[in-house]
Amino acid sequence: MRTLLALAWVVIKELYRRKDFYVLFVLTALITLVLGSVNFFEDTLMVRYLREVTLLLIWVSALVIAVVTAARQIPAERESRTIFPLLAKPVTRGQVVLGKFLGVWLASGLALALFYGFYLVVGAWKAASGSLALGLQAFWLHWMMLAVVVALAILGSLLFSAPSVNSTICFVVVTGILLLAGHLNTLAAAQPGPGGALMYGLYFALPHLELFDVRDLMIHEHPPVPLGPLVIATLYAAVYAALLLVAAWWVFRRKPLST
Amino acid sequence: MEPILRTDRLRVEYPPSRRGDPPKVAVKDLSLEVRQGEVFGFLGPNGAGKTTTMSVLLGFLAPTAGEAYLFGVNVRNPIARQRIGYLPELTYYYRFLTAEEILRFYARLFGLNGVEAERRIDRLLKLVELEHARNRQLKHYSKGMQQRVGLAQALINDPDLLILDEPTSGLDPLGRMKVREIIQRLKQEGKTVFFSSHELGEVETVCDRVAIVHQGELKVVGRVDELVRTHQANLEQVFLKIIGYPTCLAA
Amino acid sequence: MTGRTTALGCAALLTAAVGLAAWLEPRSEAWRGRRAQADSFLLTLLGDGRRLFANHFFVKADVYLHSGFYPSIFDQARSACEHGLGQEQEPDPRAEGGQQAHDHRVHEGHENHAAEAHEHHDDHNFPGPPRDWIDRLSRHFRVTEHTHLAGAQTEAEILPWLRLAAEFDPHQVEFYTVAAYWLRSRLGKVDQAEAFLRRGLRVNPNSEEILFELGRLAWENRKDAARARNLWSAAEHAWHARFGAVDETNRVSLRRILAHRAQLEEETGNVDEAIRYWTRVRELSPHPEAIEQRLATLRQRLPAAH
Ligand SMILES: Nc1ncnc2c1ncn2[C@@H]1O[C@H](COP(=O)(O)OP(=O)(O)OP(=O)(O)O)[C@@H](O)[C@H]1O
Ligand SMILES: [Mg+2]
Repeated sequence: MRTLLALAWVVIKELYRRKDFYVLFVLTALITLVLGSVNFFEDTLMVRYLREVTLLLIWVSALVIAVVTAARQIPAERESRTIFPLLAKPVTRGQVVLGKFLGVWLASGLALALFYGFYLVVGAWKAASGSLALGLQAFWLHWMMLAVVVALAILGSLLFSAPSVNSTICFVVVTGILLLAGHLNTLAAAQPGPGGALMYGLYFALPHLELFDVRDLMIHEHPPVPLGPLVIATLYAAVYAALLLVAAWWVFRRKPLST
Repeated sequence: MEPILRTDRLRVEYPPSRRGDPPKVAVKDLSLEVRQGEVFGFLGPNGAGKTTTMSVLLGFLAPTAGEAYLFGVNVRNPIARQRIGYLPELTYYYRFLTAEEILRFYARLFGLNGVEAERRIDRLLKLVELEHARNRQLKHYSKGMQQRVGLAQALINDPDLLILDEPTSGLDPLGRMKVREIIQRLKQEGKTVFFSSHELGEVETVCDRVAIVHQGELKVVGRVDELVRTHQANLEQVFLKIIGYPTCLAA
Repeated sequence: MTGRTTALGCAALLTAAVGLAAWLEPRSEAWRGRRAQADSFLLTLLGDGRRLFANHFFVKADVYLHSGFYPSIFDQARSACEHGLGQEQEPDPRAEGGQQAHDHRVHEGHENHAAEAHEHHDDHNFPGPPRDWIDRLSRHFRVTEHTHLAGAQTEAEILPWLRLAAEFDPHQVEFYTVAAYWLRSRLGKVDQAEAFLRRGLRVNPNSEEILFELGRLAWENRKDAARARNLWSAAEHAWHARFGAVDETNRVSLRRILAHRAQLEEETGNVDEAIRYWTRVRELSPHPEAIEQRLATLRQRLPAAH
């Protein structure tokens, strides 16, 4: 555990010493503030559109931060060759994968907390904070979803040599899942034959990241999610993240690290 | 006594860059023994297979055939690396950390914490003369400064065996002398040092024994003074002769 | 690597930024001279994408009205398969009297396809029983309760999307009329509604829909019968200029203009005119009997008036 935390610590330090994360945050804040100060039809009571835009920006930014940070970890270690002194220490490759995962996940959690904090500030500014319980749930679910995304990007970074290729693939896959995975059963039902069976297969195999998106509940002030489903969703994310990490470890374990 | 480092007919092949080509053989049936307390020079021209051999010793690569042991433990077992220090060649350490933070990170990987870790970090930074820059991020370091960080990290766990891949590359004459001093000090402390180098003059001054490899094959191994005596020449001339360079020209 | 990350972030936010620009740009009314230039720049930049965005925002307004409870295009397609297409709903004849009921939709008429499909789902119990465990679990994280915005406070929430839609596609008349309907009849912002409609009219000078809507505003909210008459006459002219002859696609819009006019004349006591207009409505109506009854009662009033 100490090894994992030490590895994670390096990742976190790197994230907050780089500039790109701040760029995303400042852009999100700027766009939200400009949008929020616009006056539609002399009515200052409108807040849902602002919630929608802010949350969309938060989702996009968090995805960018998580995928890009996760995708570069192991390739950067190999490129700068720090992987060699690292593995020459009593550190296993499994620990490297887990430590990197933990680092990126914690780091994106910190970034996410900052973004959701901003969301709360916007709510307070517009005097429409919404349910705090739901806000916390949204943060938690979002963070759990990022665990799966980070694990996916780390696995990808071991399969594809170029981090940019890996990042792009991860974005496409995650966006595709977010938009389509929930509807694959509908599509499958509409399509007879092997195509439909394939879609059903995908429907049950793919991680349903869209489960973790409770933005509509927040925007439209619906009640919070009950505890049971929340726990199930958390476990669901943990299982997928673990499966992806095991796959990553399995790929990395057999990989010759030549100079 | 069991040698601290031993390879037994080690063979390493790299997959060919093009399909159909034969695999590239980097190390051929290499058998070596390094004994406790020795400073052992691992010599060879560029591309001889030195780094490849070290990669096997550290578990980065699995050998195609043969075995390698550290402290009598097969290198496939991570336990073998508990008591070693390794300095890789051409490494760019974490750009966003300071020298101090990097050393603290590596110390934690060995389970070192608190006062003990800080004491070692202070001592090592003084040893490699980076005290003045300890709180600067590594992206502001020069190549030689990075190499010193590498040397410091290799010593963080007070290892019994040091594997150094070209430890003096990128260092100025003063830095090289410093490295030589450090190696000699380690020898006095009873440590074993296994290092590769192209600086034959410095090898001659610090090494007890050397091995010369060429195209992956072990050409010669023995005490420096014996080699010099039997070949009636200095180490550089011996080296050139062994790798097949016309000695008359060299002489 | 910093460069790439930044580039990625910027690309991700470009859409939002362009949207923002598209919609802030006309606000700088002071810089009139530069408007045309900016407009054409945006047009080339987005092209048809603009219209796509506009429709998306319009649907968004509908989603907001239902507090996020909305079938996806996939659910709509499924329902279309299951229940068969083309069940054209006939307009409610009662609605022709001008006392249109608020029927919980962004579109007050039965004209929009999206609304059509949507209503469909209400009838057929969207989202239906869960089909598998993932579906069942996901219901806890989605909006599954069909509620509507209520009261001026929350109903205003749909307006930004309508406004945005109109910015993106200023030639879609529906955006102005729908927004104006909500502004004047639900939120009591008659001046805002009129200003927005006038804006729409500037871009679409011969739109019978906007003229009709302006007429309603004049009559229903301002009780200005003369102005309403003028506007509805103009709407009628515009209708004829655009369509010429009546067919199935344009029948409803003409009937609506005429029915409102007839109602106005009836209420202001111009029985002759009322009869004239109701007679024309009867010819266009799918339920001529209802109109006939109405005409009969009017004719009874006729001798009394003379
Ligand atoms: N990843 C690789 N794939 C294929 N061949 C490789 C790879 N790495 C090294 N080689 C080859 O293996 C041989 C040995 O390389 P190695 O790096 O061990 O040499 P070296 O003795 O360390 O040389 P130098 O003194 O230049 O550092 C070389 O011929 C090299 O071309
Ligand atoms: Mg080498």
